Amino acid sequence: MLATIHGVRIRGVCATVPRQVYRFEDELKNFPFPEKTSRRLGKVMGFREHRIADARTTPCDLASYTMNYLFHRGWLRKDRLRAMIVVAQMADHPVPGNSKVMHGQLGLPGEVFCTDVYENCIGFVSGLFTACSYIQAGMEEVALVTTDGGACRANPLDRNTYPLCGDAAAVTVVSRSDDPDDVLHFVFRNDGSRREALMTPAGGCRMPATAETARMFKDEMGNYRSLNHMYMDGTAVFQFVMESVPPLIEELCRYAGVDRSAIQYHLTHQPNRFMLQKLADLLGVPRDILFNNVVENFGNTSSVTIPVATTFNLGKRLLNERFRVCFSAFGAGLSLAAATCRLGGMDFCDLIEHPGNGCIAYTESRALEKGETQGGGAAQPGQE
Amino acid sequence: MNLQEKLAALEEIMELDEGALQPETRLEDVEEWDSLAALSYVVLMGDEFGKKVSGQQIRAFQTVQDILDTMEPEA
Repeated sequence: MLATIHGVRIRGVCATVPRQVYRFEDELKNFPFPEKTSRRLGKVMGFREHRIADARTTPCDLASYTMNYLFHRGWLRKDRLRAMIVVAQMADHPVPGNSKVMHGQLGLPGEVFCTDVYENCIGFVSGLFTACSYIQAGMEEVALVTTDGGACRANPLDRNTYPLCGDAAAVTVVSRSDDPDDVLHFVFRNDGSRREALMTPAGGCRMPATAETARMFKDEMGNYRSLNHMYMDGTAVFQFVMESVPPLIEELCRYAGVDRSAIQYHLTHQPNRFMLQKLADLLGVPRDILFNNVVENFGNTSSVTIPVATTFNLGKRLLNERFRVCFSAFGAGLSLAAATCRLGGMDFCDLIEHPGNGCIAYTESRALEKGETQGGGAAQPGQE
Repeated sequence: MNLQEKLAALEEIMELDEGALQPETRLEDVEEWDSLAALSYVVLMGDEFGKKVSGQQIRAFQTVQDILDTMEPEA
């Protein structure tokens, strides 16, 4: 599916990561493999440290804290907000949806339209398309919330999924624009026949979670997991991305009338560094314009990797500069999404830390600057 | 690639010393044969032989010889 939306701009992005840092080096001993081979894996994939929310902090807490930060700064106003779209794969409760929980947490006016989008890896691009559609339907301003929390606490024994997981939330504010250059082009593709390559088999209607589905077993590659845990056929996902993403971006560029070489930054979903380096090589673009440092610093945060990559790598530059960017995402489904637009001239572009303990009220927290968590100089919990 | 080159390529993706692998080596005895080695093998097969291998094929490998048998250009 291809689509074009005129008259919409991304007015700002703010991403929030939990303060608690977990280091791969400390987790090596939990995996049923020799530490030497785990280190080799970490080196190639970029597993260094990741952020995981404490057990009292939910996807809605991370997201409401981010919204409150924007209200506090005056970058978002409750009386101007027309809709809040909450994209997540985990929910605070089975009923009601995250957007209703957040509406209550934030004390939003009754007329704000709140809706939930269940999505996985491509959630940011799907959510962006949904938000842009609302603007086209006549709304002035929409808050796109993407949040991922708790998904990765599930199975610390699985070296295939645990070290790359992270929690985060982000709010992307999408507004109406009169600038004729504010145009977004989208492309989406799905291959549901390959859905088993990335799946949590139990816990839904098809296979409710029971004591039996919770039983741990050792899989073909030596990892311990149960049917309640997420399973990934890494080889299949890798091949899917390598064969599908370059033609997808080619198709998007052709459709949008944008020369591929005009793309200044690729803001992609980030499952691991290795895949992104290979993807950059396949696309024939320098590895430094296709960012790959989210997993090593924060972990794969599903629908929040693109906002984290954007705020962490471009941050304040997006306040005064403008770049032609291509967003792309791929994963569970198996599904693919990409979008291109001019990004910049934003009112805000921040990355902040969540203090933990289910906090939703914003208290003074320092924005993380690029480089702060790189080169082993990790931001220490409590080191403010 | 001759046999020695193929063994050397496999030793390289598993970060093993030269001569560590023999065709009859059982993969269950090689702790370096893990998901990363499998992924590196997938990349090698694509780059060197233009072949696509599935996770199912990889999980069926029992000995180094099983891997060597796949390391031929498409017929």
